[in-house]
Amino acid sequence: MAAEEERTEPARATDMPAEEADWGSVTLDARILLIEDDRETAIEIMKDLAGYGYSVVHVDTANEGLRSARTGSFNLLIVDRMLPDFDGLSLIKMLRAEHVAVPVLFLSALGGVDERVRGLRAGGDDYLAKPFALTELAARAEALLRRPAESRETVLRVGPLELDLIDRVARRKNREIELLPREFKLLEYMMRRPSRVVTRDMLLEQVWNYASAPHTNLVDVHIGKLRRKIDIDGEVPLFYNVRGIGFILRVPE
Amino acid sequence: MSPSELLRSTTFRLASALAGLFGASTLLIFAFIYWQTAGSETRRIEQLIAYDAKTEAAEPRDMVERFVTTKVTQDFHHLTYAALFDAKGRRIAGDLEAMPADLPVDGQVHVTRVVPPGNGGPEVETVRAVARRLDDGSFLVIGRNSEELERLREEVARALELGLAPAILLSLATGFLLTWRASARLKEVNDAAERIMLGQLRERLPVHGSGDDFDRLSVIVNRMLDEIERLLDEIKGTGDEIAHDLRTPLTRVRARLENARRKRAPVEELEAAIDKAMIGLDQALAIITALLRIREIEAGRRRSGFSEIDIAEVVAGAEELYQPLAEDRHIGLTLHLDPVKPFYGDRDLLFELVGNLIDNALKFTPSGGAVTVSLSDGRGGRVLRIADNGPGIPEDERARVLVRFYRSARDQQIAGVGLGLSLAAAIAKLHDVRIVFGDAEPGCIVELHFDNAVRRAGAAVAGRPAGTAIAPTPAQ
Repeated sequence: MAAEEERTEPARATDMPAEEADWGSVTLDARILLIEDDRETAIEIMKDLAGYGYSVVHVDTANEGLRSARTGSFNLLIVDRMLPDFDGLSLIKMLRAEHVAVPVLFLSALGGVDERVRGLRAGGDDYLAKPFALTELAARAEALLRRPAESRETVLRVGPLELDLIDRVARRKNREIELLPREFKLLEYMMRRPSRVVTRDMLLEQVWNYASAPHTNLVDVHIGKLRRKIDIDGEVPLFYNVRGIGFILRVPE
Repeated sequence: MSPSELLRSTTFRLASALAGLFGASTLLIFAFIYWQTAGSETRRIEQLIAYDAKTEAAEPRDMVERFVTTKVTQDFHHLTYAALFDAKGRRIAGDLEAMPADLPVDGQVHVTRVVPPGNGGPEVETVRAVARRLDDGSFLVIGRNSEELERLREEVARALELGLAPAILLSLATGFLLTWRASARLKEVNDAAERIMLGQLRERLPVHGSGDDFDRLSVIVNRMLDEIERLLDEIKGTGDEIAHDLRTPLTRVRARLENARRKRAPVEELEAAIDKAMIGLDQALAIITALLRIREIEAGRRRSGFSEIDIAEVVAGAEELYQPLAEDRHIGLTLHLDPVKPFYGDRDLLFELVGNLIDNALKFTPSGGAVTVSLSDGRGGRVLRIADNGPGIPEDERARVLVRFYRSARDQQIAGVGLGLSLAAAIAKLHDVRIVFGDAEPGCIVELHFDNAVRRAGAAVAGRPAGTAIAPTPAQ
């Protein structure tokens, strides 16, 4: 349904500068362990992630995954839920019991809301239902690799933009921006992840706590509204639309 | 029916058990009668001989001798024995060869064994006998055999033979008849079931109209079959629709890719074709995802997330999510919330339900229109009303809008795979929430009734003549 709506109402946020090619150039020195039993899927994922500069190691059974993960040399595990020898959930439970704290992203053909909850309870940090867009996976992998540190900052800053978390006020230069509570939350989420792609699904999950994304173009509408408050005529735009993927908040060079 | 089948059939087993029980109780009754009769007969005999012995013992010796002789000569059948022995145990008169060794001489009746007078050999007989010592030291023994008791036993046995055997035979025959009838019915049912299993789903089990157990069972099974047939039709219909709705985007994807591949198009065109193909695939996947979700919800396995929730909060959240979309389309989305008592349900699902209905209302409301969402707690219970001033739903189509994939002709030009309302219906059904469509003249009113009691009372759409109630109940 979402896809169809996107087609008929092309890019809600067209008034936003679109950015295409240069996302993904941000390289990050990280090692990722991919535990996935379908080789073709694994090859595509590896190709894609390697394009972002990650080094990816692939294993196709839970046992091998367990052995590799125990070495502690990975920054992220991408784990398929259903593996030939045993369940990905049990694998992560075992690792968590051994105090292996590496971030875990589950991939699963089980898309039910309950399954997602089970995955997160077992110690996963994110859960992506198959089929997924490779860009969605990359964006989420990046989000997990660069998880914002628990900061004690009370004011977030991105270029000229300032968000006071105590007084609940947003300012651009000296202009005060009136925000609704949800807009505030949305901006806070984006400002904690500057220069990084956030996908529509990530925003729905994180800002709206909406597990089963129903109408993703709603996010575009909300972002568009927020953007019109932040980037007004004559100002350097801070919001960018990465077509087909999501949004970036950043200060252009 | 083969003999082994007969033996295994429940009816026959019951009949046999009944026959057995009947036989046993008859036996018991006869045994009781025999025991009673034999007992009183024995007592009578004992009293008689004890009395005889006592009376005779008081007589003079020659009278006793005469008594013994008379008794012996008059008793052709050797029912009684009488004998007189001298003090040393030698026989003086009577029909006993010798004094029974183990018979105490105490005037009481004892069971003892005697040798009757020589008509051949020393045939020993068990008798009841009494011995008394006369004044002159001689002994009087009077005995009586148990032939009458034997006869009594024979009588009883013959009565049993005449009574019991036919009774058992009769119950076995009845059992056989009942079994045969039951198995005939069973065969009918079995044959019908076989035909159904072979695919003749319109076939039903025979009902004879007698209202017996078989009929009642058949009626129940037939109702079950009706429901199964309905569900199968529904699934088949849904399957066709799914196939159709998936086929459309997939055909488009295939055609686009094929064209792009054949034309040796420039890279930009190829990219555009791939983009479109991906959108088409996403659409197909969205259909599958939505269908799986509907199935998951319809299966009712989602009750784990139920808790006491505030409907007003859910509605406010949904309104907040859709407000920017409404503004974008220049539709006034207004909210009226009365405080209502908590509702037991799944917060996320109800959010989705309300969101879907608001989304739907926005979709069908032209630019400049208005959508009003109001939550109230009136006499009819908690009701959420979503009214738009769009084209409305024609009355005859209201029941169908909740059916999977159904899209009324009015929204041919509006995109959507038509699953939003099916999903809404599934969520409502899971929560026992009733969805009612009404006419806003112009526009459409969708109401969610959160209080199931209203439905049970049957006061479905009172005061809303054009309304159509879609009660979320299974098996109408």
